[in-house]
Amino acid sequence: MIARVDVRHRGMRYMRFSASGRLLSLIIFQALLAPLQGCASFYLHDAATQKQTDSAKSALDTFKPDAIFVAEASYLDGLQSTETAVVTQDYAATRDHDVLLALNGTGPGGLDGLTTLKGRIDGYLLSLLGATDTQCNRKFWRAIDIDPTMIWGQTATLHSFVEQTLQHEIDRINSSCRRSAFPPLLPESPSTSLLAAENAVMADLTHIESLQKSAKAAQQTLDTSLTDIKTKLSAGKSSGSELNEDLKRLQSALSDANPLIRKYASAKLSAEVGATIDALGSTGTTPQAGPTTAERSGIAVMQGIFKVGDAFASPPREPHPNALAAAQSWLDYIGSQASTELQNTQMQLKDHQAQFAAVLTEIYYLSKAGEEMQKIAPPAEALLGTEGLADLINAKDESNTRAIDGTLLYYAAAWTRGFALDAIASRIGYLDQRRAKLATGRTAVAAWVGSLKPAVETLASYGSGGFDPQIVARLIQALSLTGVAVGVNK
Amino acid sequence: MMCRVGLLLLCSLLAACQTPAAVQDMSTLTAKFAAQMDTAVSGYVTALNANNASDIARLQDELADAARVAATNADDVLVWHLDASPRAANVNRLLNAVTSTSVTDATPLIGHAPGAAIAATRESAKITFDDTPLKTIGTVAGGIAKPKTLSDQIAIISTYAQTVQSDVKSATPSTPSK
Repeated sequence: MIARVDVRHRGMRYMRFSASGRLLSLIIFQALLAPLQGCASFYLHDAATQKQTDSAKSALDTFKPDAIFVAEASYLDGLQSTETAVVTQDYAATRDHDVLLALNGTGPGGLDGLTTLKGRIDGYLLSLLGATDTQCNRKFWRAIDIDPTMIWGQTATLHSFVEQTLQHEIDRINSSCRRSAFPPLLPESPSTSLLAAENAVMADLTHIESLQKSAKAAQQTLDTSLTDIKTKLSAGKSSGSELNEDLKRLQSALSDANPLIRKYASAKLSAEVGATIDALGSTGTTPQAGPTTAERSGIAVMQGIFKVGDAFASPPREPHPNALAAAQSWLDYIGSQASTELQNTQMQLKDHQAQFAAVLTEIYYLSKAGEEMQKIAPPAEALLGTEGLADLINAKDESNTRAIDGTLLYYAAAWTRGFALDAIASRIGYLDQRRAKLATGRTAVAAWVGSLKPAVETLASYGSGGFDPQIVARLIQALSLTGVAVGVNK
Repeated sequence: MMCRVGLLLLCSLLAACQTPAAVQDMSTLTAKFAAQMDTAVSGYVTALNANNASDIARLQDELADAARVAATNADDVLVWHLDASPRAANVNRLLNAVTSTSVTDATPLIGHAPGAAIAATRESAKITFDDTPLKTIGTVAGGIAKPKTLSDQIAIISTYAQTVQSDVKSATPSTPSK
């Protein structure tokens, strides 16, 4: 009985607050329950947190990793000049040493100068071509007196020149002329033979041609897949499973070993995502009439590749704009990396072509030097190790002097314009590889910063947001006024 | 009734001081990402500097070898220059011709490398990387990712309450002076 009275009594008290009190309680309870229910947008604003997140945002603004790449690129440009100067100096010293050995002989008990020079010219030609023309009327320089740019652009023309025209000349010289008594002598320059230099260019050309061929076929397949997606989506009856194969094909194209395919696929998909961004951005949300096929295919791409959004829900579930922007940025990154790889391939070809041209020049001048050497009158007596071409210069026999001049000048040119340029081209090739790696690193770091930026900005938004104390103050004031009003109306 | 409301209010405030789970997750990832980026870029810069330093050493060795050969050449050339015979005149003419037809070597047969090349091999290009911004980002994100302790939450509530009190005071209309 007492309990019932209490209950009734409490009920009556509750009833007394009924109108405004229940409303107030409801508001307070709703407000208080929100954070307990895990409502992520309801939290107290903390000035200290805002200060920290603002400092993180400012830190990101001052973060300039690109300076690393600018400094290294500048260093590599300077290094190229230094490498060229040092290689030139090194090869010039070796060339001059050889010229002096030819003039003076190698020294007491050694080889005389003429024999030394013959051994050099024959030895280098034997290494570079597998034959020497110094004792033959047929000359290699005539066969290779061509513009290398006319033959090095395609595998067919390069193959035809080196392994047919030139090989035919080598075979004829080997079969009809006296063989050299000297052993092959490996040049100090990086290209050990014309065949090795040709193989390097051929490998690059074959690689590029193969990339182009496979990319052409893959581009058609990718276009078909994208068209399929759009056709199936426009029919409005498709489900995710029906597009799985097409989406998988597009996704695997992004990690294809062929940079041409990666570049093409990333550009196509980036355009699809871009169209979706534009379409969603223009209205803020999908129009009530329903999304267009372009928007839906962009959402399908996002769903298939990034597992975000749902193009097959009704209405389609759009990915967050940040997710779309991040996806497009990632696709652009893949495209940039693929472009860098393609540029590197082209650069490598250019460097190998320069080495190939340098080897042709070596052969040309060695062959010319050998031809002039044939004109030098043989000494009446065998030369000693302390004698050389200087001892054969005869003021009364100008033709002999001219032959010696020609031999040594052509031999020097083989070094200056051949061996040294082969070495310089090889060094530039090495530096170009470092530049390519630098470009890859630069793109990767830019993409990292691009990924970090939205995260830091989100943190800054979180720091500056929260339940503002001023709002609470206004709420308390409003509640106080309501209380006063309740009191007045009672 | 008031006790229950008070308890609920306290619980709510404590819960509201805690960082939302989604923000915690993102902060964890951001801190991890900033740390990974810091390690990767710092390592990259260290490798670049090591590689650049090895360039200098390699070129210095090469230049020293070239200088040794060039010095021997210079001795031989000097002998021919001192010889006044007609044969020596022809040899000197030939050596000058070799020099004049050289395309890129500035000082052959002398024994000295070009000054610019020597100077360049003495310079060590030091690439620097200031990782302070990444560390700041990592520290801030890491701090937000960490669950707040009870004392942290009480401190936030206290600051928050003081701010509310001050805002209420400033928003209360003042009594007009008589």
